[in-house]
Amino acid sequence: MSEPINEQISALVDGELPPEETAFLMRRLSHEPDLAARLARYRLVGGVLRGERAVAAEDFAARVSAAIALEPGPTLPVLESRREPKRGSPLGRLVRPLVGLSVAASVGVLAVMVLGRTQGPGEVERVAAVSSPPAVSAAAVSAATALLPRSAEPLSYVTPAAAAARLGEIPGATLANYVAAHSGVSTPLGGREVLIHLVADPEPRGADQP
Amino acid sequence: MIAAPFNAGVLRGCLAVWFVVGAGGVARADMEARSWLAQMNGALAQGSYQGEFLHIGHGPVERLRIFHRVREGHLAERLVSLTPGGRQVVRRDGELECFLPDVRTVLVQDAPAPGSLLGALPSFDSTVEDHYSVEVEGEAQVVGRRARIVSVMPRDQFRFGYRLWIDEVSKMPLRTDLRDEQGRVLEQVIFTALETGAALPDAVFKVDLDVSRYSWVRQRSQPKQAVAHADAWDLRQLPPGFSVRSRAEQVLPGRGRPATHVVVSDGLASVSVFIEEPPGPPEQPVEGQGRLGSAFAYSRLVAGHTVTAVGEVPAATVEYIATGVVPGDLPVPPAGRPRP
Repeated sequence: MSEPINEQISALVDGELPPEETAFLMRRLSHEPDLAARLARYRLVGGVLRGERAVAAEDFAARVSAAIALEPGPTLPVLESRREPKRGSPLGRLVRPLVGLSVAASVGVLAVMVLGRTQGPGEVERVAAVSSPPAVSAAAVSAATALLPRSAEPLSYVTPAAAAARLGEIPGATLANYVAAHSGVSTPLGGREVLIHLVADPEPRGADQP
Repeated sequence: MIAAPFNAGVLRGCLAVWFVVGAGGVARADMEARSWLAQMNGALAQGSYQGEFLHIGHGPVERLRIFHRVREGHLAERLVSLTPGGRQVVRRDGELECFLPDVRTVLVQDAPAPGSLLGALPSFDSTVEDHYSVEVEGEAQVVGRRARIVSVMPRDQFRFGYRLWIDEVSKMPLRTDLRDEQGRVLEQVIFTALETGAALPDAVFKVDLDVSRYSWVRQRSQPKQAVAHADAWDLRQLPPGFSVRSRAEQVLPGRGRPATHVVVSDGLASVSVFIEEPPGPPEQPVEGQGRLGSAFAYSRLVAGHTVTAVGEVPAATVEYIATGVVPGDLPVPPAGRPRP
């Protein structure tokens, strides 16, 4: 892999890649899984070099690959309005029970979201491998990557610990309603975060899941 | 009308900055940082822009596109997941429509009537620095633009912080890192393309879906009005810096019964507290925790009511606030120390 590509990936991770180069790199990433894996390792190494605990990169690499697998053209992609949800797909698993809940029981406008369980104080904290400037060299990447554990533990961002022992879980439909109602009184930045999560599709976990 | 409160908030922030400078009580660097944040809030809320960004956090890495326009005081916003079959959210003033292509359904939350809750939008003033360390860290290039790096670090564990790369020209946050009190990154939002100031036509706020066979699920909210019930509950545990910004009654979508909605904020972070009558069968009262991205929630039962605190703050904060909600006629317990 050539050095300029490494530098481009590093710049992308740091959010410093010019738009035209970003588009070019995203196209390459969509066709080259190895390159996508390199991107994931760069993010991981960034965390390692900052002293954060590192975890396996494979899962994150897959996530990055999935995220960039569909490079959009200059216009919005045409979404298939009649496509049946894939069996077992995250969106399908998430939406089916929630929409059923909304339509059949008139409950759950915006019942589209998920909740994840927060961590209890005794649980192992999962640590992010998020890069930040300065960019690291290819040599540093190789050296640090060699030290990474190869466990099956998924790469994850930091999850703030809960203050008390876990109780139950708020159903996803109910939570989505609360969050949507809260978004209207949030800050511009916080409100944007909330809307992003209403659209994005995090790994479904919660009381609504089948 | 959403524009006015944001304008007022920015204005209050700028006035606060001016006042602090006059008093000479805060370093010039801090004042500069707060000025950048106030301008960023104004750009996010009042500007017209379109762009694409990556959202990196707990779930899959998501690519999204955003269209945002404020024209003659009216907000139009469309947020699109670029994942095939992904969701789209369209917001017009207060109305929110969520399009679910997989199940051909549109879920709608009606716009609230103009009410007291809009006044709860946090204002950004000098008191923010009692609970956050705010500073300009330097300059950088982000997606080909000059950006100012502004750090907002919480001084305790009751709130999240940010590291922001703010465009020097448009004042938009080109990159946003959400961080905990130790500076560890929770989530990132990175623009890969951004155009500001464009005259966005109405067409970009229409979904590119054939929704003729979609089911529309709509719940109409009652107008939010401040009523006597909203004052019937006390919030006796608030983290340092948080205060009650508003109280109102509203009907949450799909709930069918009124809830008291209390908004508390420290100027940057906000938390909503919902107090509801118990649901009837087959619904069961909710007691537990929840999380949606960086928003955490905590529900408990108090005097036969469900009390839920939700906001973009750590789980411990919503739990702490929720456990301090009591009916107004209960005796005041001895004051306790906040548990971080």
